Amino acid sequence: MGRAIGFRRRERDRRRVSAPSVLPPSISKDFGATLVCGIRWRLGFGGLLSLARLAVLLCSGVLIEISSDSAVAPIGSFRLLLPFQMVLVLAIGDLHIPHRAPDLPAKFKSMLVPGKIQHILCTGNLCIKEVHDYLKSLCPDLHIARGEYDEDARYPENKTLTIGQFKLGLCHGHQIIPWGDLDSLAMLQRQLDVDILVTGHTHQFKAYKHEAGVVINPGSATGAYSSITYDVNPSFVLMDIDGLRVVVYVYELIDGEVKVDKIDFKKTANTQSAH
Amino acid sequence: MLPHGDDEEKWLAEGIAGIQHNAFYMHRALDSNDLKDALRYSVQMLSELRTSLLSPHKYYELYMRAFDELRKMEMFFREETARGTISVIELYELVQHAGNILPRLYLLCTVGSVYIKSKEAPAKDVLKDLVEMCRGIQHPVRGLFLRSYLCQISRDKLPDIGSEYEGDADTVSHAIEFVIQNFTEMNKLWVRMQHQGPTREKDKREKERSQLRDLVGKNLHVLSQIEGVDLDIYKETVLPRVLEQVVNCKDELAQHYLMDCIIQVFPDEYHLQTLETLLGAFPQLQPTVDIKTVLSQLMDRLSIYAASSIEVLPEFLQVEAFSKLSNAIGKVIEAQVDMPVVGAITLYVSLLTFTLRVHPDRLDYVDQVLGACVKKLSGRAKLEDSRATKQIVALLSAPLEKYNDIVTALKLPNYPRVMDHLDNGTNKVMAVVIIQSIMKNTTCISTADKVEALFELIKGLIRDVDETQDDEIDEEDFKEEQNSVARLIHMLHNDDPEEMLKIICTVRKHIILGGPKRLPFTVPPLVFSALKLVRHLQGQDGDVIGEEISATPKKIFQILHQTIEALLSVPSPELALRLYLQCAEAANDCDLEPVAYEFFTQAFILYEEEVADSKAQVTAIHLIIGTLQRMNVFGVENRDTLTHKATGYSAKLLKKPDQCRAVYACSHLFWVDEQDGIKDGERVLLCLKRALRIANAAQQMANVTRGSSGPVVLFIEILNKYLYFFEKGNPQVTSSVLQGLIELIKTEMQTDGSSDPSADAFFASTLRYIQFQKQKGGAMGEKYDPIKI
Repeated sequence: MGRAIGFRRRERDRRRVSAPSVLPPSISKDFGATLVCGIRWRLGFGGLLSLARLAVLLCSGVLIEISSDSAVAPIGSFRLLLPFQMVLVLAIGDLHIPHRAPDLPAKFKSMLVPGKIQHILCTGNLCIKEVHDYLKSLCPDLHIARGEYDEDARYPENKTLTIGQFKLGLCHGHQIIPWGDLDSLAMLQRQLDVDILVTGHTHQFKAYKHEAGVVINPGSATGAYSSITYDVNPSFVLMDIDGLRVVVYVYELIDGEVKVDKIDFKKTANTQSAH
Repeated sequence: MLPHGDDEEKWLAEGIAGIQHNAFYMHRALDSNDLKDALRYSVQMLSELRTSLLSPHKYYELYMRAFDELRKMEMFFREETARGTISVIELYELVQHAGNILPRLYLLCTVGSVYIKSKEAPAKDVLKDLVEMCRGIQHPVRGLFLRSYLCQISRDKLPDIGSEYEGDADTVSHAIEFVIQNFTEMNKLWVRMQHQGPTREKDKREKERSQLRDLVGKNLHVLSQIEGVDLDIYKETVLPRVLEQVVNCKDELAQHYLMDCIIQVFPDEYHLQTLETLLGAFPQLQPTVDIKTVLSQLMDRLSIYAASSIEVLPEFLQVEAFSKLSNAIGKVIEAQVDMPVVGAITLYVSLLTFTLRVHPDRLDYVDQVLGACVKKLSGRAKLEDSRATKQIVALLSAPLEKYNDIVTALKLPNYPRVMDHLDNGTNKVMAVVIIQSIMKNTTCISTADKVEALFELIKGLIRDVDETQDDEIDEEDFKEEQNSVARLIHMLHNDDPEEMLKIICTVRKHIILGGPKRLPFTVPPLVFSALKLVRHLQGQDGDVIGEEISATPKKIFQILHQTIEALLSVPSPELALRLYLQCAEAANDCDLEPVAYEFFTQAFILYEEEVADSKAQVTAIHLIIGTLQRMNVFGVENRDTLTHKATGYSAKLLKKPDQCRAVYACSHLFWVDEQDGIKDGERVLLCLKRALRIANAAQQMANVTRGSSGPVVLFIEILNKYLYFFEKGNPQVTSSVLQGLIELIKTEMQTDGSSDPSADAFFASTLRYIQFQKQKGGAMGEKYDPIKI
């Protein structure tokens, strides 16, 4: 059922939607998804890609139901339509517990459930073992770069790993001066020779695409005080890596409400790094 | 000697065989309507119940067999009288001819039941006769079972209001009278049981006696089921009579069971209205009776009753339930001097539960209970009884759970006093519970007074209460405790700067006492809490001018300075350095140059004197450079001093690659890519050249020591820095300089026999980047055009 509706709609939506908009680019009015945290998303089936996006939501466990004006489809039936190999990567960091914040926001905690995420990239500054253990409980494949407040000396200054067809780099970022400077981060990206560079330190969410790839800063998951950024909102990033595409979902807690934003990147042949 | 094991089994089997044998003939007689034979065999059958050999448990088995047969007899009697073969009065006379008293009375009760049913005489008269006649059996076990039989057959035949056996105006009182009389007699038999037999078997006998208690209690159950027992009758007759019996029997087992029974069988509403009478009985009980359990039971029931509906609450207020219970507990504790502490505290826990349910708004009551507990505990040192400790934790946790708000508990003056009686370990556990409650409910503690009270409460975590037991502390536990204190500090907040400053000062005062072990945990959250306040003030400094105000950034920076200084005693120089830098940047944002300079000075001093580890130095110098790069408050002179220092220390790092990287990072100190930022192209170039020199030196060193050409990657890094400044428009960085550097690296990489794949990739991606920029077109493309790759 979903497939039929989806494809018919695509033809119409394509003509209508031109500018890239928030969440997914092709929007149909009557399709919605309800998330665990109570947010309702409008979804459209702009072909397989949108279905893939939906699958991300399904796999991330934040979705309760999918509904249209005419029917409410059980999530199970959608799962049958989605044969994709989904890889979800959580990027999170600068928690500064308990130096600058008592704990992760409860809303984030309820969204982050064990077993849905395949890899965690943590930009550091956890700062205590309890937080490490918590992240480990979400997903055993945990990669951490050392922040300047981390006492655990086993965390490396930076780290690279390959997920699917992407090479990812991880670094806290206090070593890269000027802090948060994209040109300087791009240099680190060239040095590590990665497609996606994940850094922190500024406590400000950023996802920036440049000629050599993507630079992502998941911000501070606790919205911790920062001398660099004023009015920090708690945020983290979920990356869906699927073939040559990566869809970046940003979860930001603004005035007690979780706002979700989405950015889409595609790795093309000419930006592919020489392995 | 009482029988044991196999013997008893044998006797029971014989008894059962006797009953079965006679029952067989009795059935035959019943089938042939032979009344005379039926009576004869039933008497013989019932004679089996005359045994004294069986324990109550086994006797019960025997009794049940006989009971089943008696139901058949009753049926037969009813049919006979209905058929008119014999009148019920004649039958009532006839059964009394039985030779032995026990069978006689069983049969009499059975016929009595038929008699009442026939309504040929008022129920009250028959019942009165039966209950009197039963006095004939004074053997405790036999008597108890006989009366239990009487109770059983009569329970549906009481002259209760609305029953078909209802009599004259006084009918209910007759019913009550009968049940109470039977109860009284049974209780006497029951109590007397303990005196039969040798003293050395007392324990066993008490156990057996306890098995029989439900036979006695059943009377109370019947009483509670009488429709006619309304509140007035209960208050005037039933309760006083029952209590009289309970008190007078002076038996521990009976008193405990019966009090409990009264509380369980009668409605809560009645208890509430007769609280005074009921509670009045407690001090009169034997001193060994476990009153606390019974009393707790009562309070628990009342608590549940109170929680059941909001409409019943006024009743509680009307009868002053709290003060009555409170007094009763006081009296009981006073009377029972030997009661262990745990008993008293258990009582207070129940009373507190009751109070929290019934009077959630009366904090004074809650405090009163705690106060009473303090009084009981006073004069003792710390508690050592683990059960008592557990009860105290329950006592202290109850208000937290009820109000979900520590602020309420902070209003209770006796709360910390109770806590003082806990041993150090439990005190800490309780303190952690308090903190967890705050975190769970995200309670914000918003005044300095409350913060003061709270820290007084959790002082076991904040400082060493006594120094003697340091070795026992588990490292992990200690960390966890201190981290929870650190979390707590974030919950102490007020939007009003003045109050917030007071809170910060209060917290500071307490945590400073924590000693070097605790400071690394507690100082950072306080520092950041204060920095948040600074930022808050910074946002609104326009309108505070002119007011007499103490919460100024300057003042807070002073406090911060002193607070971070405390870390030096730990010593924890790396943490202190980071915090100083945070403060420096905050001072920068507040436009306070001298303050920022002072913080920077402190950071440098720590770097010079305390940070010895070379790896820590690398991180520290990067943090210093990173922070300094962002500072815009400094005048030329101060800035020069600090940048000079930073560059100097960068070049003095132990490892050449570290030196090189820190030095090229310093180049950013002279080029801030903002509108009014410093743009000193010459000094940028100096830094980069210096970095190149160090890279060269590093390479030569590698040549000498390892015979290889060393880290070419440093040159690529520096090339990237050149590219950065080239793009930013530093006139000193020209395309020819870049070209030279590229050629240099190419040569290096060719001569380098063992190629480093990561350096190759880095260089390749750098060249790709240059290529990309060249192709970009526009001004940037033009700029890159001369570079050949």
